[in-house]
Amino acid sequence: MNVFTAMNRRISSLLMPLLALTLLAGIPLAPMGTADARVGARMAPFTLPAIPGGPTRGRMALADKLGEDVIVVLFWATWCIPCRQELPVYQELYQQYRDQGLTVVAISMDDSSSLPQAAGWARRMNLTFPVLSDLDTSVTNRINPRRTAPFSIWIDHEGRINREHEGFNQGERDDIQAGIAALIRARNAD
Amino acid sequence: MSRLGVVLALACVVTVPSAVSAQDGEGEGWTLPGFGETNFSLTSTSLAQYRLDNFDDNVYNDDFFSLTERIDLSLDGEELSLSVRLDGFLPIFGESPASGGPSVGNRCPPGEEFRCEIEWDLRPERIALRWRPENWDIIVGDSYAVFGRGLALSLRKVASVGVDTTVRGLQVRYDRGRFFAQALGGYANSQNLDPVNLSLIEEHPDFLFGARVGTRLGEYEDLEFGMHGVHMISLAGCEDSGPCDFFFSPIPDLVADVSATTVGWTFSAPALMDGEMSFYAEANMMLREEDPLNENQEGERYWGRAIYSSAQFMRGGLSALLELKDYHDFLLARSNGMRAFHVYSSSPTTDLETEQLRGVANARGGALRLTYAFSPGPWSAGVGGIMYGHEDEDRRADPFEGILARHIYAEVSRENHAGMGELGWAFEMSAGYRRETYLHDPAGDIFNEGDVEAEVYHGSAELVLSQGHHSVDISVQNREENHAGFITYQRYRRGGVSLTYSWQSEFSISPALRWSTERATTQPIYYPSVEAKWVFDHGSHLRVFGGRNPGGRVCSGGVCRDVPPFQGVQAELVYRL
Repeated sequence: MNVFTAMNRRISSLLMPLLALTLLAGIPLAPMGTADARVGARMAPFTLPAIPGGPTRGRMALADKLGEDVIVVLFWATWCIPCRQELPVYQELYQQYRDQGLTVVAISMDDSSSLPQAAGWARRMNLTFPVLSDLDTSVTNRINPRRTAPFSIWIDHEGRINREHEGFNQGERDDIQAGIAALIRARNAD
Repeated sequence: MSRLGVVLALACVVTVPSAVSAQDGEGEGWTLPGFGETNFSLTSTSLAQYRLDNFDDNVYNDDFFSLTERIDLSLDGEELSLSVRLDGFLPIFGESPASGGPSVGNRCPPGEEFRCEIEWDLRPERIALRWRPENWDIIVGDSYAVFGRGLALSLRKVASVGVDTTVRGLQVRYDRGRFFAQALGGYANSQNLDPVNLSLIEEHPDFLFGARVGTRLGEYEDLEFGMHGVHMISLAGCEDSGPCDFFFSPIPDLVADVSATTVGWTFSAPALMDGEMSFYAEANMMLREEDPLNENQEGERYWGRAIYSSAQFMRGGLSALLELKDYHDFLLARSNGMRAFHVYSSSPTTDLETEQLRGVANARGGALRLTYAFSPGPWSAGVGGIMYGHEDEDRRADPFEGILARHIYAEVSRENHAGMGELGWAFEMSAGYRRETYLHDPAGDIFNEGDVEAEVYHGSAELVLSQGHHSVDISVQNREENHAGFITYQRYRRGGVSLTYSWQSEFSISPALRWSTERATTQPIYYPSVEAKWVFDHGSHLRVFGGRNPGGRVCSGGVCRDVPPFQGVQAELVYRL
């Protein structure tokens, strides 16, 4: 065992009881409603650059839209077939509700090898909403910690997470349409 | 830490989801001193697995049950956030070939302990305190980083190959739009539990220091020019743990301490000609120094370079992507075998994800992809061509004296968008041919310059039908491969067919039959399996798999691994709080 393994073992031996206690402490707190699920929680803002050759230019700051628009954040990748089925569904909704306060943002999880292909796929899917790049995965780590693709987050007009969802299949289309329509109605009713 | 502690922690993990399920998850965040309004989130990923066989020649890593637990905990405040990932692994063996009774951990007989690479483990794998005042991002602990397209430095998680490496130390970023800077320093912290073969990975004492500065110009601040430098010190490892590399790496560790210094620049113009053209270029130079193994040898010192460029042109439905690369002796860390966990750069390969080769340190060539979307119609089609020379990274020869890889492929897709309640469908098909030939006379007298080293025919098709809440996905893939072996060619076939039925987003079931004749003498040819998934809450799900999976070579981000076959049962529970 080298010095680093030994050091990690020592860190583990010190921190494990602390972590176990933290987890144990969380058990009685949770049913009292003091711990929050991410659904209902405030969405963390981020700023990311557009993919090269993508539908939009420059960098996009989510903070500019948070608390104002209904926002959909979509994690996708060029190698992810369900993602390529999901994005056109949201493109249709974006065209339908863009003027009523819907913002859609796609974050590419592609690495440096596949990132150059992202713009080509965005064009084939006729995407017009911002498609962003997160090469160093700093945003993905924070809001999609399991790094699932596809992974979608709906944020209401108050800036709080309304829904998180992994995966996509075509049988979800009607539910997605109905859910986004309800969020838009709630925004415009306020 | 005692085994009691392991059991306690695992019990906590199992208990937390059941305890919190009583709440509906709606509500405001906490207000914590220093954090402000704070969200607490927990993602628990539990994997219970019974591995009957992985079809290798080690009898001590088969026929056992294991629990793998990963908990991501985070407190996310207005400017401060704190995150911890706790990884735990508990293998439970049945009757031990060595002791004759049940055991946890090592069950190998004396003299064969090295075959028992599966051990229990529990550790905080990722710890980070992050402070984000205006324009700043300061991280103490574990953080990821990519400079440019990753040639000089790429620390990111590559889930498909089980690689997850951070720099544990300090990282500071400053970004004011037109000016940005980034600096980091610390030691490389690789994920210790290999999710692919469930073995433990030794820490490797590599130190990394890097800095990057740049400016953005233009109306949209998207014309970017940056400069960077990285210094890596890799101290020789494994000298006191013997076989840690020997049994997993084709070439055992034969180097002592290594250092590598890289400097380079990047230029990015993502939207030229009114957005119709994008351009990226990056150049790096590296000085690599390897200390001698003993006093009788001389150390090695050599220069490497890596140049990468891509240009994309899009007009109407046409999209053309051209990539060029020239990598020579550009080796920030080795990428073969267990060294895959100690790769700190991710050179763009220009190749297809399914076809990447191990040696990325010496490669020269390019790729051209042409795609046409019949917009606004439902059809799109594309063709691509790739040609480059490559050499095994340890041979250090010129790429044009190695192997020439050529690959052409085509794909076509059609989508029929349907209204609510109507039948919708989508179809995608692709096919291609790859040929690799020797550019030199390989060792021995079996093959000669110009002979085929590898040949691949591949094809795939996928049809998706949906109506209302129901959808069906039928997928077929097949590859015919022919590779030069020691004395003759080896031909084999790999592929699979799967049928997935999904109801809304809540439930799916997918029977599949995969095949591989690659190792037909020692491994099965057919691999039947069934997988079911139930999504029951906000992003939470239960996935159950039973049957066989053939594994195979998986490549991503310039890292390739041979994933072993699997036979057994897996149940994965992901719970978000």
